[in-house]
Amino acid sequence: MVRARRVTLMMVFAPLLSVILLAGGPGSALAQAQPPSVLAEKHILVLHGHEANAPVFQDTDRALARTLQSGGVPILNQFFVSLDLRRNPDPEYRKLLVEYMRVLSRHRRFDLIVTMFPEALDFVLDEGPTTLPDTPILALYLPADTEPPKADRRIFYHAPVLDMLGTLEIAVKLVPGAKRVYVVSGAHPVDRQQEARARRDFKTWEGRLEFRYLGETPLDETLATLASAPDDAIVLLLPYTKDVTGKNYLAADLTQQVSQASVAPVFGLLEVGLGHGIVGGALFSFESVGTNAGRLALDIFRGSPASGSVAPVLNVPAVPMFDWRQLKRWNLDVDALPDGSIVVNKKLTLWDFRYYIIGALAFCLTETVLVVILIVQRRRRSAAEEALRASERQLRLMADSLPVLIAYIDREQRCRFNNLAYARWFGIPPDALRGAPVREVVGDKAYEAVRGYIERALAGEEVQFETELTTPDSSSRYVQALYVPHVDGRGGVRGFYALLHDMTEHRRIDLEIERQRDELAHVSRVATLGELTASLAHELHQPLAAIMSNAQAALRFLAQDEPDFQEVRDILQDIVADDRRANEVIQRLRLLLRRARPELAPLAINELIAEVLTLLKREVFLRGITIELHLDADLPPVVGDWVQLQQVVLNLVLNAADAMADGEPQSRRLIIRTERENEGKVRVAVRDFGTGLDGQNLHRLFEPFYSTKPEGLGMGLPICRSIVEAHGGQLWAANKPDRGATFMFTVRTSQGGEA
Amino acid sequence: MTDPEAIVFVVDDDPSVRTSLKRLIRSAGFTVESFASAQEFLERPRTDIPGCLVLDIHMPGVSGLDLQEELAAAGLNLPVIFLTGYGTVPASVRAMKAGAFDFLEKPVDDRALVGAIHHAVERNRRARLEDAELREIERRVDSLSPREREVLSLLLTGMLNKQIASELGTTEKTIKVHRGRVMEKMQAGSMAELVRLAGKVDLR
Repeated sequence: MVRARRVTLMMVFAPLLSVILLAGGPGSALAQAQPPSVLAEKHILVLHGHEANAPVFQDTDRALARTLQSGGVPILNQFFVSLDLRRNPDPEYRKLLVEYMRVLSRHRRFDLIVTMFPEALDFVLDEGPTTLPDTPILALYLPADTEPPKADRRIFYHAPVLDMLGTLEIAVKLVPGAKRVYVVSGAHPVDRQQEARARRDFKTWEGRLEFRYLGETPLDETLATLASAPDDAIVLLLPYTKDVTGKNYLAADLTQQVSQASVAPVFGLLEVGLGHGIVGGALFSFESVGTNAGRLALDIFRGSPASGSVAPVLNVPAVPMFDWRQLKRWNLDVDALPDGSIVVNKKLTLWDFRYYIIGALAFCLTETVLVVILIVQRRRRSAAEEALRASERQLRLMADSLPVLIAYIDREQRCRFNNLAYARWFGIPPDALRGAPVREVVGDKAYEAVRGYIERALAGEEVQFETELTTPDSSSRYVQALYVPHVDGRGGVRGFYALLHDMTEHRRIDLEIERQRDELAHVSRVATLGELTASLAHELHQPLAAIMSNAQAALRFLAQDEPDFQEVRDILQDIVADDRRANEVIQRLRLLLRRARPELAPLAINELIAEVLTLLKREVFLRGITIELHLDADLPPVVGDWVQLQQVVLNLVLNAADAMADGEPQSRRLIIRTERENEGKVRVAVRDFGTGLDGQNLHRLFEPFYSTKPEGLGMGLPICRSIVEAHGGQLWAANKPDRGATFMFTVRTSQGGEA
Repeated sequence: MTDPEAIVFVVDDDPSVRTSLKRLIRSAGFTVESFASAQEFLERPRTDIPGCLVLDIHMPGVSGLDLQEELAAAGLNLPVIFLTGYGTVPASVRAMKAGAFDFLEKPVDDRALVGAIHHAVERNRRARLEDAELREIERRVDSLSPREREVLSLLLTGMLNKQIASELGTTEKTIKVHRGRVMEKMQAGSMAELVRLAGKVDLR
């Protein structure tokens, strides 16, 4: 049973590990499309209206550059310039910028100008005719309600729209019990504009939800309100740049403060809030803007029929995005997330993902492998991350819900990954393990027990073992373990995966079953011997009787006038021999009667049978049975417990004798045969010439309490079978065509099997 | 105490028990013959020497009890001393009913065994003597003529010669002659002795 479990564990993990190892290898050619040569010649100028280090630019640029590059526009041809006009309204600065643009465009011809924020668009429109004439413009991040200005070139507009209704819908789906919505917004004109929109958009919901707008309260008050929000509340965080007291706030900081204070889940509208405490929502994503802008740019460059009819307005849909930790924190139903949702946990790095995958290892592996390759090789983040995060979520859940202890140990014998079960087992907080030396994690005692295996695994060997471990809290546990080395592409061992299964309970139950079986076997043995009391007592009486008579004879001889000393000497020798004989009988009985844990050892089965027959000699004689032995003299030793196997033979012989009790005296023959079986086993057969077995009840023979004998308890054969099976053999019976039945059992030899 | 004129037969399947019994009985001065089984003993030619049989009550093959019954059926008058093992009360009862001379529990006490053997042998000897006497009387009776037997029968009823003569339709003198022959053939010195001898046998 134990073995089977272990095999199952292996079967699940071994192939998965190899797949994972492949994932770490060099990237595939997937997603490496050939860039059309026309695109390689295209040049693009990206102008930021504000300071370049704002997240909006960084994220948009990254996605834009990636999309362009993957579409075939080389990085070399992409120019990102921060105009930084908001901080520098100085006309002289503006002149310098114009000169800068002129120099830039003197050496190349730009095929597209991307502007971000109205300032950049205005700059190009105002100064462009001299420096950048005719070049089409893709204007990003324009105010929602502004009319696009007239111009003598193609301009593509993009005005971000926050998907308030979308977010609300998602929020209500995730929190089905929500009755109240706290709408948090700032007091800046832009903030107020958003709040006004929200009030408009949410009109349709007013029948079902109670809205409370907090734009007019200072942040402190708002936070206090959120801290005492009722159970049925959710929070919707709108853009917040300034509160009524005039204090400015950064999106990330503000999100964090709101989320920390709130006792209700907070939903947002901006991707920048993700990872800072909001659950998520239909989020406006800078990256999404960059990706969509990049795709539009590529269409324009290709001059494909689509480009001519390219809509002058670029729509960037909001993306349903969520923070895994927040979903977990609020215990929200992951299944309720809209299709195509991206679930992130900003704190997780790629490194982590790798081990989550390794740790759980179970499903969607091919998918995950592709995702990993995509991420590592191509940085196609949005597509890949969506899939990756979905798998990560599953894998994480799996790794943590598996009852198996999983860890990854690196070359320095430090724990690099562990699942929840692993941490719990060692009584350590889940996150405290990462990077900790194994020795500290498992404790000195356990470390000494597995040290050899660790060294073997780090030498590149797959190690499988069972051992008793003393946990740091000094309890003793029995574990099965599998260490699979992690070999890199060059054949170096980078660490190993450790899978542990706590078998203590199984083992305790196994031991208990074993103990009870032995107990039962003992009871049955004693009962069997009890039936033989008369003949066994006779066996003991005979030598004692002989000793007595001999001793008395000796005394009489010595009392004679001319004592016959030779006779007396012979007598004394016989006394010694008889005493020995009596002692052997006692020893044999004591062995069978004692309650001892069985010990497996190599033994000669023929010898064992002979000894059983010695014990039964009297019984067999009294019953008038002739025993024929056909014992193979060349048998290898078998592995077993001497006493228990004797018990089996004893039972089978007595059963055979019983079966012939009513037969003719001449037909009371019993044949015991031993022979070698293949597969490292020896077979013992006990054949009788009795009435044979009742064919209809043949299958019940080995059932407990089934007996054909009126005085039979019906435990003999079931116990024999359990003994034989515990020895890795089989016990069965068959009728003989001519007469009687044969009971056969097999037992492993010391050469064969796994003993 | 020795009795070389008697023979003790020991039948026991256990060699060491057999040997030890043989020794013990020999040490008491008897001639001993031992056998491993009842069959073996039965195959031995019969002797005419007084003796007894020491038998283990449980033996494979023909058991002690079977042997006892077989001997009785064959009319062999040999006292049997049974040696019993553990828990053999029913068998002992059967043995007693079948006329076992004695039975002793193993391990057997030497004085008890030797004493039992002495008694058994003595009884056998006496039985043998009685047996011989009877056969002699029968032989004498057999030697009588039919007329003499008639006369003997009537004599034993206490009739006088005259009464017998009238009973048989002959003369008193003739009866006197018959009577003399009867006394002679029966080797009886007196009438009283004739009655004693004739009483031992069934004349019919």
